[in-house]
Amino acid sequence: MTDLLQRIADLQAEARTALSRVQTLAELEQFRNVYLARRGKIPTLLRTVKDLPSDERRPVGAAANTLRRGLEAEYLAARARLRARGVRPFDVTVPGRKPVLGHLHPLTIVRRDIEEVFLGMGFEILDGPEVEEPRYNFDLLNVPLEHPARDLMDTFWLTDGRLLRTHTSAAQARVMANRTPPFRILIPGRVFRHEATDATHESTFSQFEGLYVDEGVSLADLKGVLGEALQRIVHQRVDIRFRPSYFPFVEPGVEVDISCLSRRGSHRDCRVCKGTGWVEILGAGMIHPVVLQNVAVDSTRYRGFAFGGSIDRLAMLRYRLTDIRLFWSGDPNFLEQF
Amino acid sequence: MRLSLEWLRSYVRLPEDAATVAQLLTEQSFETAVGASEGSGELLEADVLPNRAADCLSYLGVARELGAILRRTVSWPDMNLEKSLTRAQPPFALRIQNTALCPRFLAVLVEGVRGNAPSPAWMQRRLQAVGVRPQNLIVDVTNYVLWEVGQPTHAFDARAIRRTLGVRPSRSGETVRTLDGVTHTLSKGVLVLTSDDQPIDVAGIMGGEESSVHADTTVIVLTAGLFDRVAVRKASQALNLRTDASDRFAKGRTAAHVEAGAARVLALLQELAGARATAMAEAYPQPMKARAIRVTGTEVEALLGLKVSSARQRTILTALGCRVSVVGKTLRVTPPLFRADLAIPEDIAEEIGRIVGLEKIPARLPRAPLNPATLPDDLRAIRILEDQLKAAGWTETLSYSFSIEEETLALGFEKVEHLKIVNPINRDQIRLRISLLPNLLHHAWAGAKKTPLLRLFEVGRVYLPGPRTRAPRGTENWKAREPLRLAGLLVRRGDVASDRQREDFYEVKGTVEQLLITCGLSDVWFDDVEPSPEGTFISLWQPGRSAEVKVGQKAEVGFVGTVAPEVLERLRIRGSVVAFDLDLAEILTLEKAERVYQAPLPYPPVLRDLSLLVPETVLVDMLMEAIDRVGAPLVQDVDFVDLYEGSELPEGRRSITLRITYGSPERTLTDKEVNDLHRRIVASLEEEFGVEER
Ligand SMILES: [Zn+2]
Repeated sequence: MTDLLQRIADLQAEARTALSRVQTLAELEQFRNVYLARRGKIPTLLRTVKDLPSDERRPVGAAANTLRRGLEAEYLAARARLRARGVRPFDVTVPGRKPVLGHLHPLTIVRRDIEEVFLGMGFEILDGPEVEEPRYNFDLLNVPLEHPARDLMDTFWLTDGRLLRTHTSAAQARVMANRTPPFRILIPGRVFRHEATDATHESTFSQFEGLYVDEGVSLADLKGVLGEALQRIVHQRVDIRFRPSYFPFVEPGVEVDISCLSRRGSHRDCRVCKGTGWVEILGAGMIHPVVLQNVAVDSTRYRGFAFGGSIDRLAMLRYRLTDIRLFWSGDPNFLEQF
Repeated sequence: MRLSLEWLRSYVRLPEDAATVAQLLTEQSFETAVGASEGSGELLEADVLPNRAADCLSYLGVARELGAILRRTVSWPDMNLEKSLTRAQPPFALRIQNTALCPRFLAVLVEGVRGNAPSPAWMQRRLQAVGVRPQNLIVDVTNYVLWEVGQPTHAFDARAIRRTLGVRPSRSGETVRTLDGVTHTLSKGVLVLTSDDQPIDVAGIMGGEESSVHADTTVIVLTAGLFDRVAVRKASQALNLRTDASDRFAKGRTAAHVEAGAARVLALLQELAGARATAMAEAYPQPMKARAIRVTGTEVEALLGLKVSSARQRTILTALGCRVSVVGKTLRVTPPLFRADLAIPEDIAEEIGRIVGLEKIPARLPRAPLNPATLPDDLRAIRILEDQLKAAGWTETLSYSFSIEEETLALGFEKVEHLKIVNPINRDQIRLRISLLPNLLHHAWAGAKKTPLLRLFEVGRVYLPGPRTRAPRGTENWKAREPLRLAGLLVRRGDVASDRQREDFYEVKGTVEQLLITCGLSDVWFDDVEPSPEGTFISLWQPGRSAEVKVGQKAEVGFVGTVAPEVLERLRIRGSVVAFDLDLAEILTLEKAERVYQAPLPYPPVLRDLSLLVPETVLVDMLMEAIDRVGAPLVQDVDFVDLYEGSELPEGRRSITLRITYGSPERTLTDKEVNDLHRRIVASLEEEFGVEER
């Protein structure tokens, strides 16, 4: 019996040595034929086990089987190794082939975000004409006749006496005339200013206008709604600051600032907020009673707030854009970034 | 307005730090920044709001603000006109021709001055700090008061005023030589001051050279008037002459300023030069009356959403110069005459709110009825179409509402009526666009210089000309006059092979088909573009390579096609452009096909490809329609697979491959059944169209 066990140990050493010399798949096949195939040395050895006396059969059989399973595993591992050697690997760092996708304009992206936020707060989304009658752009909004905006200087006028609306507020009277309070409305849209174009001025830009009319509305409601809305629009926690301001169609009127979005610690040399820590974002206020009366809303019973901001400006803040002209350039290097 | 802190501190005690003062004003009055100080001491730059120009384009106004904000007393300078008043009549008469344009005018004869005396150093320093060049005591005092009180005044040498001192609109062609040495020839309607009807001064803008104070002047006529803001603004624009005085008038003064300004000048001349007012004349036919505003403390609190004690409300209003009396729960607030902007209870609430501090107003979310808000149908549809185009590799651009001139001309669009702008800033703002294509072509070609292949689209309004209507409010159908369109361009730079151009056409056409399917339209078909008369709207589409998009029997919803080579040539575009232009507004109104489920075939269908050699006159549509007709009811579907037009094909023939889906809802079709039907279809096509199976 010790003889047989010794032979098994010798065979193991021999097979291991043989396997370690194998270089090719053909040599490996040769190895299998010699040791593991049906007529190979190990199965042949296993077949002799049954002729042994019964008390020797078990230990010898166990040793021979362990040897066979071990060698088979080593054989399979060697085969996988040798097969892999012949395979040309992929360079997994080569960029994947992406499906060709287009892009939405950044102003579309930001406008949709604004719409979603206000839809979530129950604001209807409406619009009015861009070629507008002066009475909607000025008169019904309580803009006095002597207001400089009525000059040729600030407004694009059409030959037929109409104008290109200078603010989305022009749609206020139109949308309010068809509604009875309470209502809440958001008007996103394109507006025009008679201005020469440079990095921060455009003849064309887009605004959003909000209106909220109900009983007992106050500046505190305005602050609450804008606070909730603005931090969802800029995707960041922000503080809100009201400053006194003047628009003929609101009273009191406020300018709404948000805390500067730049994430640097100090804002002293900050280009976004020019060192103040605040960024002007909206004009707002309580709707002037004359404006409510102009659309036949009982101003002794109802009050409302209105706010208006530039979508372009929010987009510029979000993408840290410094030249407003890029929005209208059609430049693919710009558009394809969004 | 520029503010010297040293000057400001002479009226009210202020915090040490200029930035703190600027912040107080910014948060409670109007935006104010710390200005650059070059040797003139610390400066502030205040951007006074238009409704506050009357009271706050002045040191006293800003001092009053700061006094109210800081709760400190303001030391007011001496400006009591009564004190300097004299009953004596001057040797001239006042003649105000149009009191609407000059509601108040004051002239005072002042003796005991010397035209060549300098002003004191402190006054010169302050004037220099705000950018005014010191000249002589008389002129410096009027300038000083312009900044301090906000009222421009003017001193004439008394010798220049003869029997009448008048104010009237100019007559066309009159001339005035102003202090800056420029002779202005006036058009009609510029307000002027006159002596015996001869213009001697442009009212509210600049005095005349001849009538001004000279070195030997000893008697002056000091004038102060209220001139119409629009008249002054227009005159200032017309003469291209802006001065500190014209700026103030253009932004609006009040009759109260006239008195305060004159009184302050007289007080200073008396104090600094021992001058005496010896006679005075005034034209003030309709004196301004103070108007009281009634407001309750609760009203103020309700507007602000903030509790403010009624004592605090009264203190604030008093500090701002209002007279306040209390009748029961009502405050009776009489604003000072220089605060014409305070007229309604909301104005009073604003004053209280900003002086208490707007930061004290809490943020509160309103309670409101649970009305659901949904995106309007058209906006929702636009989002879906935009997203679909994006997913198909198209990039959105936005272009101006104005039609870019070069492309407009190249397309011949200028021959079609447009809405026109009276005051364009440049030639690309002359017309409002009637089509998205000119601007899109402009963007596309500029973009093609950066990338060899571009797919660009825009959703936007066009502006249709038509008579201006004055429909009753709320009934205007403005959407019909500003219809939405959706257009796109596939631009390929350089020499583009014919096959490639055809592929591009089919890609764009397919994109359009897919968009219309998304819109729920069935029954979409493509018709040849009719040859168009020269110079009309559709000459941009290349004949034979363009189609009109139609829905059902009547609706024409747009075009898809190759942009004509002549157009590209005119625009010096080297490449090929395939475009689509859809009437989105129309598409969104068309009736949508019902989306009703159809039972899926329970038995596997059989697919058979059919390759045919087809005469060029036979269109794919005709073949598909015939297969449907002949193969009914077992033909479930016919799909287009391939079109080939190689040179090795017989002259005038194309090769077309179609895939027919055979199936039945009742059973599995046998091979024989399908083969028989397929043969019958081929035979029928051969007979009807002269095609051959390949
Ligand atoms: Zn910052």
